[in-house]
Amino acid sequence: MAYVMKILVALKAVPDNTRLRFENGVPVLAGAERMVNPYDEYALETALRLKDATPGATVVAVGVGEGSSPEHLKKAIAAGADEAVRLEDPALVGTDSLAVAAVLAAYARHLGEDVKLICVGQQALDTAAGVVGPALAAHLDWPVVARCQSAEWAVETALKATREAAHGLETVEVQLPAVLTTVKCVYELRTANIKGVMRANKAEIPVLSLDALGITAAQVNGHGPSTPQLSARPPKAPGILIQGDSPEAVVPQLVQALQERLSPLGVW
Amino acid sequence: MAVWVLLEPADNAAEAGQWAPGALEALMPALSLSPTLEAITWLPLDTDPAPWAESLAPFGVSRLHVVSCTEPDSAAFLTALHEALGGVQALLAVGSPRVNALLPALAVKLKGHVVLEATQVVSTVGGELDVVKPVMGDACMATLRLPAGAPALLSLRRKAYRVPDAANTDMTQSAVVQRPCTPGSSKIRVLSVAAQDDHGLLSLEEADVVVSGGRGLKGPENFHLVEDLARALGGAQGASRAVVDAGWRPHAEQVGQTGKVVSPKLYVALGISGAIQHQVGMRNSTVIVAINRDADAPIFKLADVGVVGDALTIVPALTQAIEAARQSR
Repeated sequence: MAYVMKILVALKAVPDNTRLRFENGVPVLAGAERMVNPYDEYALETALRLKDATPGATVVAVGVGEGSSPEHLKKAIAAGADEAVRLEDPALVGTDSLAVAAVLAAYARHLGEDVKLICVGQQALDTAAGVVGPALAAHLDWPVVARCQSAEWAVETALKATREAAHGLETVEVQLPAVLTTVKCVYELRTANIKGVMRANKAEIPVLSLDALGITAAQVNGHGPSTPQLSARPPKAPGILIQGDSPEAVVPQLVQALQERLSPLGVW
Repeated sequence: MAVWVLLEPADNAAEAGQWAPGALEALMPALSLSPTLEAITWLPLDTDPAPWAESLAPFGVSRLHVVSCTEPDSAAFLTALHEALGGVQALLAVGSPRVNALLPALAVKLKGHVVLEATQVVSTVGGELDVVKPVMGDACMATLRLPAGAPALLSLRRKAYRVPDAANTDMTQSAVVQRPCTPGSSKIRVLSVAAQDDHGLLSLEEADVVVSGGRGLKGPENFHLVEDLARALGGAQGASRAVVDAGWRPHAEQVGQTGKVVSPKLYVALGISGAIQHQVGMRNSTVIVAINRDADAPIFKLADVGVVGDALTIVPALTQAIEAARQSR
């Protein structure tokens, strides 16, 4: 049976870590080329698969604050999202994951009861915070299924999802509305088709300020930590390279090198 | 400073009655902030909390708060934790899927700060906390200064700290404080649990040694070489993204971006070129060993010990040599 349902997907544009330039061991982030957070790509794919199985469902790609990027939101539309929105405000510059969660919660409330599901990547590649999904669920008093590898419909108001747990994979049933966070999923990511790309090119992506969402900067930023100070990883002594034509030539050297390094660590 | 530790009980039958692996590592940084601690955990209603409390007394834990709960996904559980934690200035725990989902929710409820998977926690002269964690795919470190005045909810990366020595012999008993939790309200129901097929090897997160294989092993039929070496070294088995994507190995074994992040004492990369996406998952390992035919492979920039050669011929001989060396000790 078709019924009205909105699925939100939070998409963050993060620095492309395969192309980062480093100065003194610290990446230069200003002007760095960006990509969609890989964990969010699986959140989008999960949302699109659930939409495909539900007549009447729509998927909204949402960018928040500094991670919001019209270019990357259009990629989501090209892949099949119905619309996109940017939640941007000068007050969100330099804020953290808890602020992003508060803004997403305000947007879900702004849309009302049609929102049944919010999918977000388990973490963003750049900050590695992992905070947005569970914090968002706490704001809305919704359940959260974290670290999902897949999700499908159980009944009209519940999903069956498989999540990474301490001792393996747990399959759970979760009542909607709910938040899912995704890790790498069991299914492949879809690629955009021509029709989608044309739709994305034409799409208007509205921008909503905190004011439009009915929240204040103080409500969002009340308790965030300071901007993180980045520093280089602790330096490491250069390694040794063993070369030889045969296993007989290299293995004795390798075993000796292992023994020297591992004995002090108690693992030899 | 009111410092508490959140201790997760093990949730599988094999470890029933024990703390989750590594959970007690949270005590070390907690004790650096305060000489006495309180702890909070959750256990089923019919569990005797006495032995759990007893195990904590030697670490300076004065009280163990026990939420009676078998539904840790429920809103009622979150509420019970929230109520118990009023007035707590710092809550430390070792990161796990469960803990890392609980702490951000508690940060919202308690209007606190949250940092997950930190590797270092230091208090400043001004009463703030400096929390260090690897970011940007473990390419660099970030220090977050958390202002005093709001509770700090922190999870620590496994093995970032060791379990402290049981030192405080004055304390013989931790008092138990029972905390009720309304059952039957969970919106999440666990249908089934599939344990990872680990061939009796350790899990990636637990192991002091991780041996991973990549495309240089030529095909799935050669991954017994990875398993054999992992077994000889008493470690766990991992894989690169390339071989997981190719279907040679399950995703549970993937080390790297969108896979597992490990920091064992020894990491051995067999036939793995070491793309950034793989480095993300293993660059914090203490000793890195790489075997690869391509002398220009990026993995050699990270390796403490590199071997330029064919893993397919070197590994069997290496496994044999290690077994011999270990038996002769």
